[in-house]
Amino acid sequence: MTRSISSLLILCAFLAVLLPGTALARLNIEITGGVEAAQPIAVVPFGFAGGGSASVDPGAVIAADLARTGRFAPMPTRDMLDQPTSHEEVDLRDWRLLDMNNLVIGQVVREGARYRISFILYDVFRGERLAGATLTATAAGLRNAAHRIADQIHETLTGIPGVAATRIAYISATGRGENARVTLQVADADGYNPQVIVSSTEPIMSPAWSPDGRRIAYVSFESRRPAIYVQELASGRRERVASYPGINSSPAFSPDGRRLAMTLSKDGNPEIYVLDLDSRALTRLTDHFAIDTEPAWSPDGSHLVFTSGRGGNPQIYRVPASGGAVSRVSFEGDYNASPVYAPDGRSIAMARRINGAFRIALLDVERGFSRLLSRGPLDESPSFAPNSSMVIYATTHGGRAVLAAAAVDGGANQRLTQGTDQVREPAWSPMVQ
Amino acid sequence: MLQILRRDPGALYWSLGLHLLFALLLFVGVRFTQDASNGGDRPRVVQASVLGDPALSARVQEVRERLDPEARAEAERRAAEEAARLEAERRAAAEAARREAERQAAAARAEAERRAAEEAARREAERRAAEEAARREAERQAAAARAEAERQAAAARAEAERRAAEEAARREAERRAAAEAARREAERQAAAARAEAERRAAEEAARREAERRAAAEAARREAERQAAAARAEAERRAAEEAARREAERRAAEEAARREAERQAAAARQERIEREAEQMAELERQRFEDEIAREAERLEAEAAETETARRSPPVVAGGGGGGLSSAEQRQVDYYKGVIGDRVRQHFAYPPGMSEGLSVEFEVRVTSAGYIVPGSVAMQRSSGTPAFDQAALAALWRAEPLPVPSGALFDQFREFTFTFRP
Repeated sequence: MTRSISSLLILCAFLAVLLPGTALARLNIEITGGVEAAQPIAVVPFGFAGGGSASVDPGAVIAADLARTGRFAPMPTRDMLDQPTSHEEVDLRDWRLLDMNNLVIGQVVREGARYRISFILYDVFRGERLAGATLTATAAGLRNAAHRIADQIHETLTGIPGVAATRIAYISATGRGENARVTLQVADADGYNPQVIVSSTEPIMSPAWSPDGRRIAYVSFESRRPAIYVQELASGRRERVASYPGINSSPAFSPDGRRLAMTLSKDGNPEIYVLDLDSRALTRLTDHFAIDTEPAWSPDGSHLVFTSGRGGNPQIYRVPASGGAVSRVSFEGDYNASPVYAPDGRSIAMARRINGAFRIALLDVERGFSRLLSRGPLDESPSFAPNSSMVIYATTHGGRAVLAAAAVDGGANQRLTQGTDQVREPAWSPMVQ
Repeated sequence: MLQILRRDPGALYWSLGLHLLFALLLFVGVRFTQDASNGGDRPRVVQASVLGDPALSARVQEVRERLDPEARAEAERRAAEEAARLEAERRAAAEAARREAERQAAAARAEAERRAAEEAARREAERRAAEEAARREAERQAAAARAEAERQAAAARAEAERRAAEEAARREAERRAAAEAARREAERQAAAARAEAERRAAEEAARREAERRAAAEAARREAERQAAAARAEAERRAAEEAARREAERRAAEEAARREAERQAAAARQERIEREAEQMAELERQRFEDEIAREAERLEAEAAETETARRSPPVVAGGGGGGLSSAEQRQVDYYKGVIGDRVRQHFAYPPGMSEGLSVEFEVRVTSAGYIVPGSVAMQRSSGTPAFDQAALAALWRAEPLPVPSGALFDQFREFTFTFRP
């Protein structure tokens, strides 16, 4: 008894001495540097149950969505040692051997006309499930469900909302001569699932989304003269909001959705105006004998940027939303046009001519320096993804006008459209609810 | 009087002088009349008496009045002259002043006129400049409008021309196609008539020949079909067999590859677990040894304290502190090497890692492997992708280049802090 008490006392005394000693013995190593690189992730082809076959593999859609962000490098399926589709089949040690940081598995179960899609996201090295959910969709909604899963994975891992489930509007042209057809289309952010919104034999131009994603403004020459229309996507109902003599072009919704900036030449030469959509009051913002066009709002609505030839060649300028002093914004290159603000307000994308080639440039608003996002030689009409991480633009490939997307933080530029149409003037939608 | 004095002081002096002379003569008794009577015609007696002042004054007055007209006339003449002179001077001065005023007025008028002229000239210049500017602006606007109109007109014209050209080309093409079609149709009909006659003749001959050949051909085909069927069946069986064998081989290869990798993984895992067990055992042993040693020491100390009645010395933690400078240099060297190795594998996600940091605590085996389950994230960056990139760098850096021997004691436990 006495011995056991004394042993206990000795142990306590020992621990009191030893524990601080242990803490002191821990080595602290600081790792700074390293490199930026797309993060390795394995997205296994989803399993399928319930008869028939799925028209689309959500796993492939998710992998493509993640690759397009430039932040992830999905593993090719042929390199996978195993293709588990349920939690029971997962052995994370396999994926650790393959140097994967994350693993995504999932299943599609058919229930009559509907599908149930479930997925699990794993942290391979810590052996944890980071996210998982089950969605339902029709056959036509399978791709969209996959996009939403990709967005959930993106936000879980990076803390930044994904944009795979958003949409893009663009102008498509087919045929020649009497068969010529111009359409305004809206497709998924990866270019799939295109839907015709407006069709005409005369030109359509400059689609612009309202901030709630429910309306699109555009310029149509259907009455042989340019006019600006605002159209509701759900109902197809539309209204002609500007058809003044001369030029009516480049509509841009204000961040609160109540005003529409535009270019009009009704008072002589092209100037920037703002139309109040409720009161129909028109305010002139610029007054210069040079051309002023292509207005774009700052995200806080305090000012607009626009293209102007007042300096001798096209450059970007800014003007307060209530009118006032105009100041120059772009200084590099002898041609800068089509400015558009990043939704986070930190940068402005524009089309710039460098050594005879047109490329998309990104201007850091705060620090004033800029860098090139695309390779040219004929890139134009940049538009930001609603999370500011990607820019979509029009380019050419094999003599055809196509759309491409670039990750703002670097990574591959991807072409989005196939087919034989000439595709131009993309506009990325806001976040879709 | 004063006026006279002012005008001609000499007259006054003359007058006063005469008065005084008469007074003097009166007092000394000079008799003007007597002298005159002496040589003159009529004697006269003058009753003289000394009188008071009024009398004198009256007398003076009388004399003065008698004598005065000449002086007064002289004085008055002089005064008049003087007045005339003064009047002339005043008039001259007034005239001069008037002229001066007129001159000044004229000068002022001239100045005002000059200024007005200048102002008018300036306004005229401004008006002309404004007109010029307005004219230029109008011209410029007109030019811009003209250019725009021309551009639009040109575009419209070009479009119209293009469409017209297209239309014309289309019509021409249609016309040619129609002509060509008509020509071909005629030829076709002629040929058809010719051919029809030939065809009918030939048909009969052909029909007979065909019947004969058909019988022979049917026999030959049947034989070939049977041979081909036999060949195809043999080939199909051979192909199936080959495919089955290839599939089996591939499956076997794949299974072997996966099995090998699994075994490798298993072996590695087993090794890690074995090492972990060994290490745990070693640590347990060490812990027990240390407890025993510490107990002994404390007992000894207790005894010593009892005898010597003094406080125990400060004791360093087991195996922890007390490094020599040579040992410290070695520790620093290995820390650097380990840090470099982990850094080589640290690839964080692009564009979103600025300002992030994450902290892990890990234990490693003597071979440099991370003890499974020993990894603890002390502080997350808040961004899972970044935390994972850091953790992945640790695992990929295995085995960590830890020192062997006694120095390893310093490298059992680490805190790694990652910043981009």
